[in-house]
Amino acid sequence: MCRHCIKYGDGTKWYLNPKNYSDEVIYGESTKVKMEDTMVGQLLGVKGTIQEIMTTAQRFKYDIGFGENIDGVFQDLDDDNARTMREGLPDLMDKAVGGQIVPLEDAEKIIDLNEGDIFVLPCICRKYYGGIKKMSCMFLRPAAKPLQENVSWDTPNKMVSKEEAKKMVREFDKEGCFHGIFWCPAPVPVMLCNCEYPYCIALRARFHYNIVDTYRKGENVSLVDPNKCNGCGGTPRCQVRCKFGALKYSPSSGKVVVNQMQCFGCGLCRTVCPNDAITLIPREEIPQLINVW
Amino acid sequence: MCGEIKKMVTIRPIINYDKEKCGDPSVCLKCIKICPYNVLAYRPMETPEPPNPPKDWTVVSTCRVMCTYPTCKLCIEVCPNSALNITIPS
Repeated sequence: MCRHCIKYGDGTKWYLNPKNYSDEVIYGESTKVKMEDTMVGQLLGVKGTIQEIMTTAQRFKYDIGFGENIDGVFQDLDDDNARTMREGLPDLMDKAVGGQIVPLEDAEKIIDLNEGDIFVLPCICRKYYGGIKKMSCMFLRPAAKPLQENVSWDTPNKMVSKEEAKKMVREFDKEGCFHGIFWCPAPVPVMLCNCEYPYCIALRARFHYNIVDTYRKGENVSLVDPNKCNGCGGTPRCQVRCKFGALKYSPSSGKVVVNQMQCFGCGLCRTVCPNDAITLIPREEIPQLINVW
Repeated sequence: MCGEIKKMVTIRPIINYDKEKCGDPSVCLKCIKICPYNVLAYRPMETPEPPNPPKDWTVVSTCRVMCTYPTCKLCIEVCPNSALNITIPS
Protein backbone atom coordinates (compact mmCIF):
# COMPACT_ATOMS: atom_id res chain seq x y z
CA MET A 1 0.00 0.00 0.00
CA CYS A 2 1.47 3.31 -1.03
CA ARG A 3 1.05 6.49 0.97
CA HIS A 4 -1.93 7.52 -1.15
CA CYS A 5 -3.70 4.23 -0.46
CA ILE A 6 -3.13 4.62 3.27
CA LYS A 7 -4.39 8.20 3.25
CA TYR A 8 -7.17 8.04 0.67
CA GLY A 9 -7.78 4.35 0.05
CA ASP A 10 -10.14 3.41 2.91
CA GLY A 11 -8.74 -0.11 2.85
CA THR A 12 -8.36 -0.43 -0.90
CA LYS A 13 -6.17 1.18 -3.54
CA TRP A 14 -6.66 4.94 -3.78
CA TYR A 15 -7.74 4.80 -7.40
CA LEU A 16 -10.24 2.01 -6.70
CA ASN A 17 -11.94 3.82 -3.84
CA PRO A 18 -15.37 4.94 -5.13
CA LYS A 19 -15.27 7.88 -2.74
CA ASN A 20 -12.51 9.49 -4.81
CA TYR A 21 -14.84 9.59 -7.81
CA SER A 22 -17.59 11.41 -5.93
CA ASP A 23 -18.43 15.13 -6.02
CA GLU A 24 -17.45 15.41 -2.39
CA VAL A 25 -13.80 14.63 -3.19
CA ILE A 26 -13.59 15.99 -6.74
CA TYR A 27 -14.73 19.42 -5.56
CA GLY A 28 -13.55 19.01 -1.96
CA GLU A 29 -11.11 20.84 0.27
CA SER A 30 -7.92 19.27 -1.09
CA THR A 31 -8.58 20.72 -4.54
CA LYS A 32 -8.66 24.31 -3.31
CA VAL A 33 -4.88 24.82 -3.05
CA LYS A 34 -3.77 27.72 -5.23
CA MET A 35 -0.82 26.82 -7.44
CA GLU A 36 0.82 30.22 -7.10
CA ASP A 37 1.41 29.37 -3.42
CA THR A 38 3.46 26.26 -4.25
CA MET A 39 6.93 25.77 -5.70
CA VAL A 40 5.68 23.92 -8.76
CA GLY A 41 3.26 26.73 -9.55
CA GLN A 42 5.92 29.40 -9.17
CA LEU A 43 8.33 27.51 -11.42
CA LEU A 44 5.64 27.12 -14.05
CA GLY A 45 4.26 30.60 -13.61
CA VAL A 46 0.68 29.38 -13.42
CA LYS A 47 -2.23 30.74 -11.41
CA GLY A 48 -5.34 29.18 -9.91
CA THR A 49 -6.12 25.75 -8.47
CA ILE A 50 -4.64 22.76 -10.25
CA GLN A 51 -8.06 21.73 -11.47
CA GLU A 52 -8.60 25.13 -13.06
CA ILE A 53 -5.28 24.71 -14.80
CA MET A 54 -5.70 21.11 -15.90
CA THR A 55 -9.39 20.86 -16.67
CA THR A 56 -10.41 24.20 -18.18
CA ALA A 57 -9.29 26.20 -21.21
CA GLN A 58 -6.06 26.92 -19.33
CA ARG A 59 -5.00 23.33 -19.84
CA PHE A 60 -4.38 23.91 -23.50
CA LYS A 61 -2.26 26.90 -22.61
CA TYR A 62 -0.07 24.96 -20.21
CA ASP A 63 0.03 21.67 -21.99
CA ILE A 64 3.47 20.16 -22.24
CA GLY A 65 5.59 22.33 -24.44
CA PHE A 66 3.24 25.26 -24.11
CA GLY A 67 4.36 28.34 -22.28
CA GLU A 68 7.96 29.29 -21.90
CA ASN A 69 8.48 28.42 -18.27
CA ILE A 70 7.53 24.79 -18.62
CA ASP A 71 10.67 24.03 -20.62
CA GLY A 72 12.78 24.73 -17.59
CA VAL A 73 10.78 22.52 -15.28
CA PHE A 74 10.85 18.96 -16.51
CA GLN A 75 12.39 18.83 -19.90
CA ASP A 76 15.94 19.96 -19.46
CA LEU A 77 16.93 20.10 -15.81
CA ASP A 78 20.51 20.70 -14.82
CA ASP A 79 21.97 18.62 -12.00
CA ASP A 80 21.18 21.14 -9.25
CA ASN A 81 17.57 21.65 -10.27
CA ALA A 82 17.07 17.92 -10.60
CA ARG A 83 18.22 17.47 -7.03
CA THR A 84 15.92 20.22 -5.77
CA MET A 85 12.98 18.68 -7.57
CA ARG A 86 13.81 15.23 -6.31
CA GLU A 87 13.94 16.31 -2.69
CA GLY A 88 11.17 18.86 -2.63
CA LEU A 89 8.70 17.19 -4.89
CA PRO A 90 6.81 14.39 -3.10
CA ASP A 91 4.75 16.76 -1.00
CA LEU A 92 4.25 19.22 -3.82
CA MET A 93 3.32 16.61 -6.37
CA ASP A 94 0.41 15.56 -4.19
CA LYS A 95 -0.97 19.05 -4.55
CA ALA A 96 -0.34 19.11 -8.29
CA VAL A 97 -0.19 16.24 -10.79
CA GLY A 98 1.47 12.86 -10.58
CA GLY A 99 0.88 9.36 -11.83
CA GLN A 100 1.00 5.73 -10.90
CA ILE A 101 1.18 2.66 -13.08
CA VAL A 102 -1.86 0.36 -13.06
CA PRO A 103 -2.33 -3.09 -14.61
CA LEU A 104 -5.00 -3.68 -17.23
CA GLU A 105 -7.64 -5.04 -14.85
CA ASP A 106 -7.33 -1.97 -12.63
CA ALA A 107 -7.52 0.33 -15.65
CA GLU A 108 -10.81 -1.33 -16.57
CA LYS A 109 -12.09 -0.93 -13.03
CA ILE A 110 -11.20 2.77 -13.14
CA ILE A 111 -13.26 3.15 -16.31
CA ASP A 112 -16.15 1.44 -14.57
CA LEU A 113 -15.88 3.61 -11.47
CA ASN A 114 -15.80 6.82 -13.49
CA GLU A 115 -19.20 8.42 -13.93
CA GLY A 116 -20.20 9.25 -17.47
CA ASP A 117 -18.27 9.14 -20.71
CA ILE A 118 -14.55 9.44 -21.26
CA PHE A 119 -12.95 12.15 -23.37
CA VAL A 120 -10.04 11.06 -25.57
CA LEU A 121 -7.38 13.43 -26.88
CA PRO A 122 -4.14 12.76 -28.76
CA CYS A 123 -1.26 12.07 -26.39
CA ILE A 124 0.62 15.31 -25.83
CA CYS A 125 3.93 13.58 -25.09
CA ARG A 126 3.99 11.63 -28.34
CA LYS A 127 2.90 14.73 -30.21
CA TYR A 128 5.65 17.01 -28.99
CA TYR A 129 8.48 14.48 -28.83
CA GLY A 130 7.74 12.54 -31.96
CA GLY A 131 5.22 14.38 -34.09
CA ILE A 132 2.83 11.43 -33.62
CA LYS A 133 -0.87 11.96 -33.03
CA LYS A 134 -2.10 8.92 -31.14
CA MET A 135 -5.48 8.96 -29.45
CA SER A 136 -4.47 7.57 -26.10
CA CYS A 137 -5.03 10.25 -23.43
CA MET A 138 -8.26 9.39 -21.61
CA PHE A 139 -9.83 12.04 -19.42
CA LEU A 140 -12.17 11.07 -16.61
CA ARG A 141 -15.16 12.99 -15.28
CA PRO A 142 -13.47 16.03 -13.64
CA ALA A 143 -11.83 16.93 -16.97
CA ALA A 144 -13.98 15.38 -19.70
CA LYS A 145 -16.71 18.03 -20.14
CA PRO A 146 -14.60 21.17 -19.58
CA LEU A 147 -11.96 19.95 -22.01
CA GLN A 148 -14.49 19.05 -24.67
CA GLU A 149 -15.88 22.57 -24.51
CA ASN A 150 -12.47 24.19 -24.88
CA VAL A 151 -10.55 21.94 -27.24
CA SER A 152 -9.08 23.76 -30.24
CA TRP A 153 -10.75 23.08 -33.57
CA ASP A 154 -7.69 21.52 -35.20
CA THR A 155 -7.18 18.91 -32.45
CA PRO A 156 -8.77 15.50 -33.07
CA ASN A 157 -10.93 14.48 -30.11
CA LYS A 158 -13.78 12.13 -29.25
CA MET A 159 -16.10 11.27 -26.40
CA VAL A 160 -16.29 7.50 -25.89
CA SER A 161 -18.54 5.26 -23.83
CA LYS A 162 -17.24 2.96 -21.11
CA GLU A 163 -17.35 -0.07 -23.36
CA GLU A 164 -15.41 1.65 -26.12
CA ALA A 165 -12.87 2.97 -23.62
CA LYS A 166 -12.28 -0.53 -22.26
CA LYS A 167 -11.83 -1.86 -25.74
CA MET A 168 -9.27 0.84 -26.47
CA VAL A 169 -7.37 0.10 -23.27
CA ARG A 170 -7.24 -3.59 -24.12
CA GLU A 171 -5.90 -2.80 -27.56
CA PHE A 172 -3.19 -0.57 -26.12
CA ASP A 173 -2.25 -3.39 -23.76
CA LYS A 174 -1.94 -5.78 -26.67
CA GLU A 175 0.19 -3.27 -28.56
CA GLY A 176 2.56 -2.89 -25.62
CA CYS A 177 1.57 0.38 -23.96
CA PHE A 178 1.28 0.31 -20.19
CA HIS A 179 -1.42 2.21 -18.32
CA GLY A 180 -1.14 4.91 -15.72
CA ILE A 181 -3.59 6.84 -13.61
CA PHE A 182 -2.81 10.49 -12.91
CA TRP A 183 -4.12 12.38 -9.90
CA CYS A 184 -4.82 16.09 -10.03
CA PRO A 185 -4.54 16.79 -7.11
CA ALA A 186 -4.28 13.65 -4.96
CA PRO A 187 -6.58 11.75 -4.60
CA VAL A 188 -8.72 12.83 -7.58
CA PRO A 189 -8.13 10.52 -10.57
CA VAL A 190 -8.26 12.67 -13.69
CA MET A 191 -6.39 11.02 -16.52
CA LEU A 192 -5.84 7.47 -17.71
CA CYS A 193 -2.71 7.25 -19.83
CA ASN A 194 -1.47 4.61 -22.22
CA CYS A 195 2.24 5.34 -22.23
CA GLU A 196 5.52 4.11 -23.55
CA TYR A 197 9.15 5.06 -23.26
CA PRO A 198 10.81 7.30 -24.56
CA TYR A 199 7.84 9.54 -25.31
CA CYS A 200 6.19 9.78 -21.89
CA ILE A 201 7.36 12.97 -20.19
CA ALA A 202 6.59 11.71 -16.70
CA LEU A 203 8.68 8.61 -17.27
CA ARG A 204 11.47 10.70 -18.76
CA ALA A 205 11.53 12.87 -15.65
CA ARG A 206 11.72 9.72 -13.57
CA PHE A 207 14.38 7.89 -15.58
CA HIS A 208 16.64 10.83 -16.44
CA TYR A 209 16.40 12.87 -13.28
CA ASN A 210 15.20 10.34 -10.70
CA ILE A 211 12.10 12.32 -9.86
CA VAL A 212 10.09 9.45 -8.43
CA ASP A 213 6.72 11.09 -7.93
CA THR A 214 6.07 11.98 -11.52
CA TYR A 215 5.34 8.32 -12.25
CA ARG A 216 5.14 5.96 -9.30
CA LYS A 217 5.43 2.20 -9.53
CA GLY A 218 2.23 0.17 -9.46
CA GLU A 219 0.74 -1.69 -6.53
CA ASN A 220 1.80 -5.04 -7.99
CA VAL A 221 4.98 -6.74 -9.09
CA SER A 222 5.32 -9.60 -11.52
CA LEU A 223 6.54 -13.02 -10.50
CA VAL A 224 7.87 -15.73 -12.80
CA ASP A 225 7.09 -19.34 -11.96
CA PRO A 226 10.39 -21.12 -12.71
CA ASN A 227 8.62 -24.45 -13.11
CA LYS A 228 6.49 -23.12 -15.95
CA CYS A 229 8.98 -20.81 -17.70
CA ASN A 230 10.92 -22.40 -20.52
CA GLY A 231 12.57 -19.20 -21.74
CA CYS A 232 10.78 -19.54 -25.12
CA GLY A 233 13.85 -21.33 -26.44
CA GLY A 234 16.20 -18.42 -25.88
CA THR A 235 14.06 -15.57 -27.19
CA PRO A 236 11.64 -14.76 -24.38
CA ARG A 237 8.60 -12.80 -25.54
CA CYS A 238 7.99 -11.15 -22.18
CA GLN A 239 11.35 -9.41 -22.15
CA VAL A 240 10.56 -7.44 -25.28
CA ARG A 241 7.45 -6.02 -23.65
CA CYS A 242 9.19 -4.74 -20.51
CA LYS A 243 9.77 -0.99 -20.67
CA PHE A 244 11.70 -0.92 -17.44
CA GLY A 245 14.44 -3.49 -17.95
CA ALA A 246 13.18 -5.66 -15.12
CA LEU A 247 13.14 -9.00 -16.93
CA LYS A 248 16.40 -10.84 -17.48
CA TYR A 249 16.99 -14.03 -19.41
CA SER A 250 19.63 -16.43 -18.20
CA PRO A 251 21.18 -18.63 -20.89
CA SER A 252 22.47 -21.09 -18.27
CA SER A 253 19.15 -21.86 -16.65
CA GLY A 254 17.19 -21.09 -19.81
CA LYS A 255 14.64 -19.16 -17.78
CA VAL A 256 13.55 -15.59 -17.21
CA VAL A 257 13.91 -13.88 -13.85
CA VAL A 258 12.33 -10.65 -12.65
CA ASN A 259 14.30 -8.00 -10.86
CA GLN A 260 11.48 -6.92 -8.61
CA MET A 261 13.31 -3.80 -7.50
CA GLN A 262 12.96 -2.58 -11.08
CA CYS A 263 9.53 -4.00 -11.84
CA PHE A 264 6.84 -1.34 -12.20
CA GLY A 265 3.96 -3.80 -12.08
CA CYS A 266 2.37 -2.85 -15.39
CA GLY A 267 1.57 -6.48 -16.22
CA LEU A 268 2.46 -6.28 -19.91
CA CYS A 269 4.83 -9.26 -19.69
CA ARG A 270 2.25 -11.77 -18.49
CA THR A 271 -0.12 -11.31 -21.44
CA VAL A 272 2.36 -12.73 -23.96
CA CYS A 273 3.59 -15.69 -21.91
CA PRO A 274 2.57 -18.88 -23.73
CA ASN A 275 2.95 -20.97 -20.55
CA ASP A 276 1.16 -18.60 -18.13
CA ALA A 277 4.32 -18.52 -16.07
CA ILE A 278 4.03 -14.85 -15.08
CA THR A 279 1.56 -13.60 -12.50
CA LEU A 280 1.08 -10.26 -10.78
CA ILE A 281 1.25 -10.30 -7.01
CA PRO A 282 0.56 -7.45 -4.57
CA ARG A 283 3.70 -5.54 -3.67
CA GLU A 284 3.09 -5.87 0.06
CA GLU A 285 3.50 -9.64 -0.11
CA ILE A 286 7.23 -9.07 -0.51
CA PRO A 287 8.47 -7.19 2.57
CA GLN A 288 11.57 -5.82 0.82
CA LEU A 289 9.42 -3.97 -1.69
CA ILE A 290 7.05 -2.20 0.67
CA ASN A 291 8.90 1.10 0.41
CA VAL A 292 10.06 0.77 -3.17
CA TRP A 293 8.06 3.14 -5.34
CA MET B 1 45.79 19.35 0.43
CA CYS B 2 42.20 20.26 0.58
CA GLY B 3 41.43 22.25 -2.48
CA GLU B 4 38.13 23.31 -3.88
CA ILE B 5 35.86 20.37 -4.50
CA LYS B 6 34.83 20.42 -8.11
CA LYS B 7 31.13 20.03 -8.66
CA MET B 8 30.07 17.06 -10.73
CA VAL B 9 28.15 18.33 -13.70
CA THR B 10 26.84 16.10 -16.45
CA ILE B 11 28.02 17.26 -19.87
CA ARG B 12 25.17 18.06 -22.19
CA PRO B 13 25.54 18.93 -25.85
CA ILE B 14 24.17 22.34 -26.74
CA ILE B 15 21.67 22.18 -29.57
CA ASN B 16 21.58 25.39 -31.56
CA TYR B 17 18.45 25.97 -33.53
CA ASP B 18 18.03 28.71 -36.10
CA LYS B 19 14.38 29.64 -36.28
CA GLU B 20 14.87 31.95 -39.27
CA LYS B 21 16.48 29.26 -41.40
CA CYS B 22 13.93 26.66 -40.37
CA GLY B 23 10.70 28.49 -40.98
CA ASP B 24 7.68 26.58 -39.67
CA PRO B 25 8.75 23.28 -38.03
CA SER B 26 5.16 22.03 -37.65
CA VAL B 27 4.89 21.33 -41.40
CA CYS B 28 8.23 19.53 -41.74
CA LEU B 29 8.88 17.73 -38.43
CA LYS B 30 11.72 15.75 -40.02
CA CYS B 31 14.18 16.33 -37.18
CA ILE B 32 11.59 15.59 -34.52
CA LYS B 33 10.52 12.34 -36.11
CA ILE B 34 14.07 11.13 -36.77
CA CYS B 35 15.59 11.77 -33.32
CA PRO B 36 16.00 8.28 -31.81
CA TYR B 37 15.99 9.52 -28.21
CA ASN B 38 13.33 12.17 -28.69
CA VAL B 39 15.62 14.92 -27.55
CA LEU B 40 14.02 17.31 -30.01
CA ALA B 41 10.48 18.49 -29.45
CA TYR B 42 8.41 21.29 -30.87
CA ARG B 43 6.18 23.76 -29.16
CA PRO B 44 4.21 26.91 -30.01
CA MET B 45 6.11 30.19 -29.82
CA GLU B 46 3.23 31.83 -28.04
CA THR B 47 0.43 30.61 -25.87
CA PRO B 48 -2.71 30.49 -28.01
CA GLU B 49 -6.12 31.68 -26.89
CA PRO B 50 -8.34 28.55 -26.75
CA PRO B 51 -10.09 27.29 -28.79
CA ASN B 52 -7.80 28.72 -31.47
CA PRO B 53 -4.81 26.57 -32.40
CA PRO B 54 -1.32 28.01 -32.00
CA LYS B 55 0.17 29.76 -35.03
CA ASP B 56 3.94 29.81 -34.84
CA TRP B 57 6.05 26.88 -33.70
CA THR B 58 9.62 26.40 -32.60
CA VAL B 59 11.93 23.43 -32.04
CA VAL B 60 13.23 22.90 -28.50
CA SER B 61 15.74 20.49 -27.06
CA THR B 62 14.69 18.43 -24.06
CA CYS B 63 16.55 15.96 -21.85
CA ARG B 64 19.86 16.76 -23.57
CA VAL B 65 21.58 14.12 -21.42
CA MET B 66 20.17 11.60 -23.89
CA CYS B 67 21.73 13.17 -26.98
CA THR B 68 24.53 11.01 -28.42
CA TYR B 69 26.21 13.62 -30.61
CA PRO B 70 28.78 13.28 -32.29
CA THR B 71 27.99 9.59 -32.89
CA CYS B 72 24.51 10.43 -34.06
CA LYS B 73 24.07 13.37 -36.41
CA LEU B 74 20.72 12.37 -37.84
CA CYS B 75 18.91 15.62 -37.11
CA ILE B 76 21.67 17.73 -38.65
CA GLU B 77 21.77 15.57 -41.76
CA VAL B 78 18.02 15.40 -42.25
CA CYS B 79 17.36 19.14 -42.00
CA PRO B 80 16.73 20.56 -45.51
CA ASN B 81 17.60 24.11 -44.41
CA SER B 82 20.57 23.23 -42.15
CA ALA B 83 18.93 25.03 -39.25
CA LEU B 84 20.44 22.77 -36.57
CA ASN B 85 23.94 22.38 -35.26
CA ILE B 86 25.27 20.84 -32.08
CA THR B 87 28.24 21.81 -29.97
CA ILE B 88 29.77 20.09 -26.98
CA PRO B 89 30.68 22.44 -24.12
CA SER B 90 34.27 22.06 -22.95
